[in-house]
Amino acid sequence: MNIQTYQLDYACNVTERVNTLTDRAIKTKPFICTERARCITESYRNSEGKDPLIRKALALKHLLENMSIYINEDELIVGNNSSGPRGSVVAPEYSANWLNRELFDPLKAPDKRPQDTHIILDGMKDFLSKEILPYWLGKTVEDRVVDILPETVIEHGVASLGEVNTTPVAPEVYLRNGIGHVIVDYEKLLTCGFNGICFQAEKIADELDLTIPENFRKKIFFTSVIIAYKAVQKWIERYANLAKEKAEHCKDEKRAEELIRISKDCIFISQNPPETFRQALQAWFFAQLLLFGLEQNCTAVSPGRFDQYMYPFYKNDIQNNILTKEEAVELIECLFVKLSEMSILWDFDSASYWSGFSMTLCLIVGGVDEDGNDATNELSYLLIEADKNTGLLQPELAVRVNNCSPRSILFEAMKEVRLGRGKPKFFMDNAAISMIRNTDISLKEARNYAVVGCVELTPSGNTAAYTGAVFINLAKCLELALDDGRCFIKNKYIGLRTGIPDDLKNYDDIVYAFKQQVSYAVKNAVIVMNAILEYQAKLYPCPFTSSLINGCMEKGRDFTEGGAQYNFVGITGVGLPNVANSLAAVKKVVYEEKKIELKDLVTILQANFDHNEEFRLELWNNIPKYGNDDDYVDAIAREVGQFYCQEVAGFKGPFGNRFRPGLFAVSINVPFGLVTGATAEGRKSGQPLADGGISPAAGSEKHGVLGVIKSATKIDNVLAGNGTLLNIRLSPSVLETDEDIAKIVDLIRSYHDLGGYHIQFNVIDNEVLRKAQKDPERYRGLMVRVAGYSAYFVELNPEVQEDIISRTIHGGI
Amino acid sequence: MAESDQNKKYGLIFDIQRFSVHDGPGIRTLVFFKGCPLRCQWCSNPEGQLMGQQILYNSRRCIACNGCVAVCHTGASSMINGTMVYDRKKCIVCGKCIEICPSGARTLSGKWITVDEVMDVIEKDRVFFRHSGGGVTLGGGEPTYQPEFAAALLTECRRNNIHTAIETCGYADWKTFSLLLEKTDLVLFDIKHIDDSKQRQYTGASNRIILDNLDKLFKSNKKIIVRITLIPHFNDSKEEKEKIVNFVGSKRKNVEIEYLYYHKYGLHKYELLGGRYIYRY
Repeated sequence: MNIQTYQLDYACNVTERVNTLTDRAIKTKPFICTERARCITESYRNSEGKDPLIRKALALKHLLENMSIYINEDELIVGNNSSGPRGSVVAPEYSANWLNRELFDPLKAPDKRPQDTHIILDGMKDFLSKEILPYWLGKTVEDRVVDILPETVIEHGVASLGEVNTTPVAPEVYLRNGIGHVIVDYEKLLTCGFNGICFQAEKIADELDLTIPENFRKKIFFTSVIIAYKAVQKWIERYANLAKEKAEHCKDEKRAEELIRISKDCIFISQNPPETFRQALQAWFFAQLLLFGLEQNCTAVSPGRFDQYMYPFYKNDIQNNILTKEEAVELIECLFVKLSEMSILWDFDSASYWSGFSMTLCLIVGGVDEDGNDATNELSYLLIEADKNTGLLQPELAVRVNNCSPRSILFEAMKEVRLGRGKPKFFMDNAAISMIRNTDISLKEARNYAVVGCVELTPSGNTAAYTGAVFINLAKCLELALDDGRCFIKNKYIGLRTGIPDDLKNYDDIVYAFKQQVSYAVKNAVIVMNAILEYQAKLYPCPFTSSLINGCMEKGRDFTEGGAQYNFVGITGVGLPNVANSLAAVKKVVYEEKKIELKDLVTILQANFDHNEEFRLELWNNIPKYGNDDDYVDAIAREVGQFYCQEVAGFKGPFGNRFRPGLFAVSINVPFGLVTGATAEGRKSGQPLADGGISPAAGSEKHGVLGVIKSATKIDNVLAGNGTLLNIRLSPSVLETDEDIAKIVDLIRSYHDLGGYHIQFNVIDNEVLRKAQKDPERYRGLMVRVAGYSAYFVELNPEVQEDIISRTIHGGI
Repeated sequence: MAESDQNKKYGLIFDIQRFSVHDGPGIRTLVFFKGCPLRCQWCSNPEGQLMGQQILYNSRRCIACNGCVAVCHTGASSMINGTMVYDRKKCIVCGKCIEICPSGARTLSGKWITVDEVMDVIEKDRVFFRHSGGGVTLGGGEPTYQPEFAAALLTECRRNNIHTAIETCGYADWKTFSLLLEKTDLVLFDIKHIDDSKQRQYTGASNRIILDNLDKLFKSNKKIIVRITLIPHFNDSKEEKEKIVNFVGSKRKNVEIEYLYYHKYGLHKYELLGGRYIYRY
């Protein structure tokens, strides 16, 4: 009776094949693969002067023709975007600047840094720095953005490029990477096939009336799509040939048969829409590799409602007796292994924001259909089963919850939660549909929502969502408001000059100063993002991705240029709970109880409570804290959250993109905490900010999980269209029996009723995590929930590990 | 007495735990009553035993700021060679040191609160009872130790359509017991041991009243769950368990029996109370 985690003892029921494959996936360490960098560079060198769309398509073609392909032992689903399992591609067209800065840095180099460490083979650094990077320097999105924007915007709007690197705005992701963060129209892909979409492009291109001026742009777009698709079809044929060749040399008769089947399926889907479940999975995976890793290199290319669009294939095969349920599960498991063998190379800063190599491929099951009826099907259950069995990083399994969700699906999902890998996460339909309807999306489209990456809502298949665009450190904004825009840590002015403490006569003055700082940060974020969007479109459009986002083919326009039906940009606020706690503290001790003057409080904070531990503890212990169902502070959290959301939602991007606010933290609460001085809630300088997004600051909740849920549902989730995130840690003892599991299911249903949006659980005791820190090799497979994604605990950097350990565990004894 | 007077009754409560999944059906809010007639050696809530407010002192959190020494009128708190010394014999639990303590090293166990105040907290959790079929469980300490307050609270819950349970050691006079019985939906009844001398040795009280009450309880039609905490070397042997099960079985057929397991999560609380955990096995 001393349960610490159910994860380690879980006896999964998988075939020997899947066992071998998952074992390999867990044990393989990420490495850097330079093939893509080489091929893309060769192609771009030869295509100078051509249109950016054509250049991108030609580069993809050159890559698909020349990259090495492999089929590993035991695989049933094949394909690769790098030269081996867990190889991270290098995309110099986006990343040249940071690679140039960091590749040889003794602390920041990808093979030296503490987070997301990669193996780099001998000679590879020299190859990159001599053969690849020189061509790209001066040609990247980052270069152009820095060239054009005023210095103050860079200084105050890009944390990692400013002289003072503590500014509250972090837009690095799209500055240094492709875009990702999308759910394409997989249904279209599976219905039309690669050949069908290519044919569609050819037909439209042929019929364009080129006397109409705007049709010429379309002609270029469709030409690039056609180049890409022809190359894709040839690339798939390469796998067919490889499988056939392997079959010929294979001594194991059974494996030879499998390889022949793979070969036949590949040939078939290169020229036809898939017919069987197996072919559908294979075609789907090829598309996935193209979308992430080959055409561009950013994560969160999310499968979306996989159980919905795959179900017809499954049902058909079962009815025709050409597939058993067990075979289906094994195929799904093989696919999940392939997804988990993809890897991502971030720059130093992004790697600390998104620690843990997660591709955040959110695959969501259940929920209602377009007409509002529950759409859970047999495949929904099989996907949970497969994820439970494989226990791998990907996909990021998610379950939609609504009033008509069958109890059994929530029960099965909760049984997976019990394993303590933090999967699946849960999304509440009521809140989600209201949140997404807050933009101009129809009810039918809203009901068909899915989630990109961690928690970001989008309709399925028709949206360029840019959900991971910018993170804003709200706690830092409050710091700047307390002393006229001056950073406590660097002692430099990096915000608006909103007044010295003596100018802030009452609580409303502080709130006003804070709001001005937030507005300023948001404004800088918007300017930087607009520049990024402009140059992503001008320099590196994505014709293949665009062909699968509804709107682009209809308009003949790349998604980076606003071709999609809906275009968003996510600007996400971090540290809302810290701001609420700190404002509550200032309100109480300075203005209500008049225990201390504001300027003295600010001096104490600037000195990081040095010689004032007593006062710090008083603030920490005796002032109401968010997360305890206390209206005094929860009302502040609600108001600040609303203000932030309204501020972001007021802006539009260059292609009509609507800026959407989010309130979640990924793992950025740790690096943001490092650059935030002491806060009036009693948090010391450098400590992490609240994790999750709307989870209470670590150790500040005293009224259990119900208090947390009540506080979290007082946040006006509906306004935060880019998503909110609530982490809960439960003691394994709360999930011992089936009866216990049923109660947590009911807890989620109550959360749904209260208007909550997202919730996820870590069910693991600290003792196990401490053991894993000491003996990482033994605990390689131990998975925990970081933010909207799970990661292998031992692959996280030490600060993030500590942050997870410090989160309060809820449990009844 | 009028209803409103009942609701202004004060009870001494040492915690309200707002998320429990192991004390009755569904998700429950647990109200911990202070005061208990038993002194079980393994008690995991020792702060619930005494019917009176107590100061919990955590020396590890103390930062020796001298604040408590300055406000203490009785000399219970003093600073000797830079170390805080807290002498409980001199302490009158006036609570002044708790108000001043910044680090949370001192906390008060037991607050006098009204039925209405408890109901305010319970009401916040109602949404969690609905799907799960949960409700309120009175525990402790021992709810029958403050029977009038417990009765008033149960009445108010019933009036608000909230499922109730009491968690009891069974040691109370039958009149008190039957008063609460009328008002609760479920009784969680602890049995420690069948042998009276063993029970007395380890819990400080005879089990005759307890077993007698259980007997009477079975004659009512109340829903009862018998709970047995398995304490190593006290009652966890096969024979001892069987004795209890047989006893229960002889009184009523098909009674639900729940086993709870021994743990030491309460160990540090003895230290906070200035006491010592004496159970050894």
